[in-house]
Amino acid sequence: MPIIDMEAKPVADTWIEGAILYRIAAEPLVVPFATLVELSPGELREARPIGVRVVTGTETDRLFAALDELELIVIEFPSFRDGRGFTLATTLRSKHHYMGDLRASGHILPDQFAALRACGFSTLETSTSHPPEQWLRALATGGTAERPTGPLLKRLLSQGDSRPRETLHLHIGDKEQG
Amino acid sequence: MATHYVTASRLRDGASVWLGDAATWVDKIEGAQRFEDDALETALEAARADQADHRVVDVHPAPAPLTYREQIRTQGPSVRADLGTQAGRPARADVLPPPPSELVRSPYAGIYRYDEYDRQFLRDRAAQFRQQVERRLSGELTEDEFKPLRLMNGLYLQLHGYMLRAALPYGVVSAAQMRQLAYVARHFDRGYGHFTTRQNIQFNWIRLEDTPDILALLAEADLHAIQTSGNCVRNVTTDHFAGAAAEEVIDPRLFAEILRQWSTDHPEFTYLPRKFKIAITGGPIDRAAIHVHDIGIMAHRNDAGEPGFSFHAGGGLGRTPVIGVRVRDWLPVKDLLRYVEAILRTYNALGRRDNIYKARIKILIKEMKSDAFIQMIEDEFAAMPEDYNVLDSEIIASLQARFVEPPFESLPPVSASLDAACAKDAAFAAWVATNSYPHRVAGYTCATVSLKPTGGIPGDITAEEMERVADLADAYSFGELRVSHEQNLVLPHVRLDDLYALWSGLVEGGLASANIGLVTDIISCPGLDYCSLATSRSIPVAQRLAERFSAPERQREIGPLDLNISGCINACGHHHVAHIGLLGVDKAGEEYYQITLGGASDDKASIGSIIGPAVASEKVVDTIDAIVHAYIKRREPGERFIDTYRRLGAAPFKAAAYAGD
Repeated sequence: MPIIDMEAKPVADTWIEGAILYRIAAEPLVVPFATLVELSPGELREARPIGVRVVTGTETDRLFAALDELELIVIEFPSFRDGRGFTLATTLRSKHHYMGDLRASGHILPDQFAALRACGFSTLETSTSHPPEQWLRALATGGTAERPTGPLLKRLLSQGDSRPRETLHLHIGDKEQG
Repeated sequence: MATHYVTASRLRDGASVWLGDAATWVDKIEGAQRFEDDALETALEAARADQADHRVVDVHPAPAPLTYREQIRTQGPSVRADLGTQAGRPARADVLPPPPSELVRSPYAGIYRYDEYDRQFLRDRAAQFRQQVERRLSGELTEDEFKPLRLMNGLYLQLHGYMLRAALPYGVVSAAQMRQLAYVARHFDRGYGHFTTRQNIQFNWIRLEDTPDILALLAEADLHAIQTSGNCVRNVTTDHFAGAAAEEVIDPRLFAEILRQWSTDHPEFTYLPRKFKIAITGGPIDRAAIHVHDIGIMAHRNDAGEPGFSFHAGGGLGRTPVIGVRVRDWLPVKDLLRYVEAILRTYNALGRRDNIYKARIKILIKEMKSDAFIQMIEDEFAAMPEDYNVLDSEIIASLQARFVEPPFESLPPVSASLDAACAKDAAFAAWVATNSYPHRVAGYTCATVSLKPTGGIPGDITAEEMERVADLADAYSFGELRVSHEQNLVLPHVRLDDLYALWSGLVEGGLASANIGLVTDIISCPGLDYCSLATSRSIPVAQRLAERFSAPERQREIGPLDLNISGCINACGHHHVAHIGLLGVDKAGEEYYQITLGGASDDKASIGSIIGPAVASEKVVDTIDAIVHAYIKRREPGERFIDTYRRLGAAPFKAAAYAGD
């Protein structure tokens, strides 16, 4: 299914899912996590460009150890209600400083667009039940664009906030006195 | 041969409907068809086709004769004969009066003050839900996909319709907000609401299509229903005397608000293994039950006088009641969000998702052993970038500035007029004795409005009553109200001199029950009269008990006694932590009640113990009476029920309870 970026724009996808054994050339290859675990560090380095598909709930220490060689990590959500993918993505980005492509796949909803982006995903694999146009619509209705609104605390904590802090303070206006 | 009805809930308003002739849905059981076994599958198939077409949800067969649960679905709540299906489902009025939020905002109430950005966020969320509802009605979203989205906005499908649960963050409500709630109750529901044990309000008769309008109305009053359900961080609760109690060390409202804002729409923690409840208290007397929450926080000061927190985690009620483990003795204020985030990240990654009954953090901590769990949190906490989500003093000050300190007067600590009124009016004096609590400011007191009148429904309140307490709050408490987890209301800042006038206003409205902390101040969940999870009707039991103990002298003679009732194992009525707890269970279609003794939710928190076999519903009142009698006989002067129980153990109470058997 079509891959989109976090602006809901289509992304040319050159990654191929497959087994290393049958690899013809050095095409970008996505392997299951089980395959990754079997590769030695040397084999892994030789296999580049390589990505991995991880189903949430997998033992992740081996994944963290291999990050330097991985250009793509696909996190598969078994159900959109299974939020482990959000924590795994956050952990990869903020604790392990993973810089490659982080892709959400499986059962995900356009209603989760903003959350997926905030947790560090860079691309999404869409599905027949939720094709790209639904994600585009979610984006258009404020699903993911940086919101100018939000609770005060989040405005204060977000580092990209360029508004001077004075304007965030409350002015008890006429209406308040009512 | 067995025959079955086929039933479902209508998508648009959640009404229970029954398959009638010619595969049409009817509202009343009288028009429903009964299907023999061989015809049932065909009928169900037709019904499921309608479900696939997004007209109904939850299609299921109901064997005849109907179970108690299905009877309630056909008739409406047994405790509200005026509201059954026979009353019909009134249509929404075409033209509504202007909402109260357009008029006044209670400028001195101690709520967090929204700015336009805060408010716009709530408007956006209401607009987003409007779209989701449209997508659901059009079929773009399946019920499976829509359900978590509606739950995230507080909308449940109950026995008779949709129930909307709005958050009253940490229980603080302004008079203006209370009037907005009354407006919703009157124009979108059936004229009443129900305060829950989690400082929320529930409306029981909501139409799916109206919900976005209601959320938009709540947004204009700085109220919302976000995360009042679903597997996310729920409404953060606190002491209902926060910022007012004489013994308080730190006002927990600021930190509850910080946690509310942080957890709202949290990108990482909105799809947790299970729901997640945080409670915080700011003084040595725990009125927020922090030991039975997923995270319980106590705000206090260290030896240097700096504010900070100690943490408990893994407490909870429900199927597996657990007293939380102390996971940290001291955390500086600046690290609050970082530490809570470390706990939640660990839980989200490792909490069980294979079994809904084992998905709470309490099970994870049990299975891992608490030391290993604490180590994992600490590792996660230590690995965080040091500038990440730090609550620096500037941020704290910005949020603190949003809470207005009421303009208290300088008053003498005693009131001659109060003393005179007490001397003159015994009923007033009795109310003052039970329903007031010492205030931190001289000349003021906290006054509790009991929502437990004899014959009433614990926690229920009509639109007129909401407006009356709002008016009284404007007159006597800086326009501020609190909702307690005991399902009562509080006017937190009343001048001692005004207490008699306040009481007179409450008497006029039938709201002056002098029973706070007494045996008739019963916590009760809605039970099977409303709730689709319940197995028994808790409200009628609460009503019969209140009736039995209704004599004011007898209640006062018995003294402080927590009696809580839950209509099912999910324990929303907090029965595990009551001095006397009742849990409704279904025994072959009959309602029985399991009795537990010795629970407590305060700083000496404990889980009550079951004293013996469950008792038939009609025997509950006599049994509780016998237990109370045994206490009166054995207590030492001035000893509370719970202390007598702790001194003597269960044996004498058990003997009294089962004496007739």
